[in-house]
Amino acid sequence: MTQTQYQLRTTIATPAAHMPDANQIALVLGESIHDDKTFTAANYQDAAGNLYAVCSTVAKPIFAAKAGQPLQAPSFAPDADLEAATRAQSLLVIEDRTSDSPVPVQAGPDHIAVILDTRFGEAQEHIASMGLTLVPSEEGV
Amino acid sequence: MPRRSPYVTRPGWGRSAASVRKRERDRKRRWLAEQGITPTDPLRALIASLYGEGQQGAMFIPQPQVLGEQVLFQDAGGTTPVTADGDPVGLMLDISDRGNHATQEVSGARPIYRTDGTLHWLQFDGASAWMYVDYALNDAAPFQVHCALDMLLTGASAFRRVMTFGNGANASQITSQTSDGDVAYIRRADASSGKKVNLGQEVGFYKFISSCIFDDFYINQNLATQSNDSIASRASGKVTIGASAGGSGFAEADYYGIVMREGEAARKNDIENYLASLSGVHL
Repeated sequence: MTQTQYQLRTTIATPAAHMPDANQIALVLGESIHDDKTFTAANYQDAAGNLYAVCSTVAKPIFAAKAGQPLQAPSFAPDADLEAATRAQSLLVIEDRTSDSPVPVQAGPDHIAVILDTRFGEAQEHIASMGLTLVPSEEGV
Repeated sequence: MPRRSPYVTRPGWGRSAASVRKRERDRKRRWLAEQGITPTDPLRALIASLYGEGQQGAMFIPQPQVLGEQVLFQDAGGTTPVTADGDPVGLMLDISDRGNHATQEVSGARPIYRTDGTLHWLQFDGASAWMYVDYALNDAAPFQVHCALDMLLTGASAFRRVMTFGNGANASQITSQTSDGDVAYIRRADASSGKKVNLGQEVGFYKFISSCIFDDFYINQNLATQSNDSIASRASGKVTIGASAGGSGFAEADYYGIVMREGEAARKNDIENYLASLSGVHL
């Protein structure tokens, strides 16, 4: 069996107010024309009650490289809103666990928290590490 | 004068009846192989018996190739095949031949194909991964739903949707009630009419085969609970895997196989045994 190109797992916590911009950077850095629907529901919260939308996914190494460079619209989405994507890019705070000295990141309302890990990283551990919990559901059995 | 079939070998001229029968079997086997049919393949036989008369439903086996065909793809359009442990899955083909495929168009919401070299599964991370099936169970008909999964039962107040049938007030779900390790096989968003099964497990991963036969719910072939409020009576919308429709209540679970079928229940034990072989569950 071949080796996957998806050698990273990244978990991203976007404050509810920044979801539209975060969806544009997801579109620019993503792989599908539908990636502007990456952040759809703010169903996580921090200790202060601030709400966040969370996405966790595997990624290719080029994802991390592109995130730190000037953004370009991908061929599948030439009309991507680069202004909004760049606003989101300026809010990224990255805990790079693939580096020798990762700096821990907590979710916060003024930035988009990102954990970059090997592909064996676990989404739930990332979310807990960011200080987030699932907003209790009103629904019951 | 009737013509003698050129494909029939007759005894005589030194051939025994047994050798003629063997020759006929070999010839039939070669012909079936040329048609892409392997009659001895238990999966193909199972599919034929479940869906051969046009029954609606879907069957998902999360392996890159099944019956010689690529069934997992990285993208929803089916252009890039899944070939390696760790690849994302945007399209999982329905091998029942009903065309009810599972898709995820958003790349950040795709489950991951995993394998240890022997077993194969789709890993849903409980954060954003889910898949959509463009198929709604017929709520007027009997049905059966079987699923082999390894589910993480944690989270004080979270409801994790293993599979959802429909959306909104009429949604029915197979759900883990994670606060106490229960698995519910039916519930509605607007009522507390669901029935649940306590797996009796400590918090942690629990691998099992679940079967819903209309009103009855089975865990590892044992009848767990019954309800007058069946999934069928609430199944008003399309099927989702790993979350509610639209993506919420994400299940952190590994899926080894799913079988959905409308019509009077058939071959329950065969399906469960097959799913057990896929997942390593000992029934």
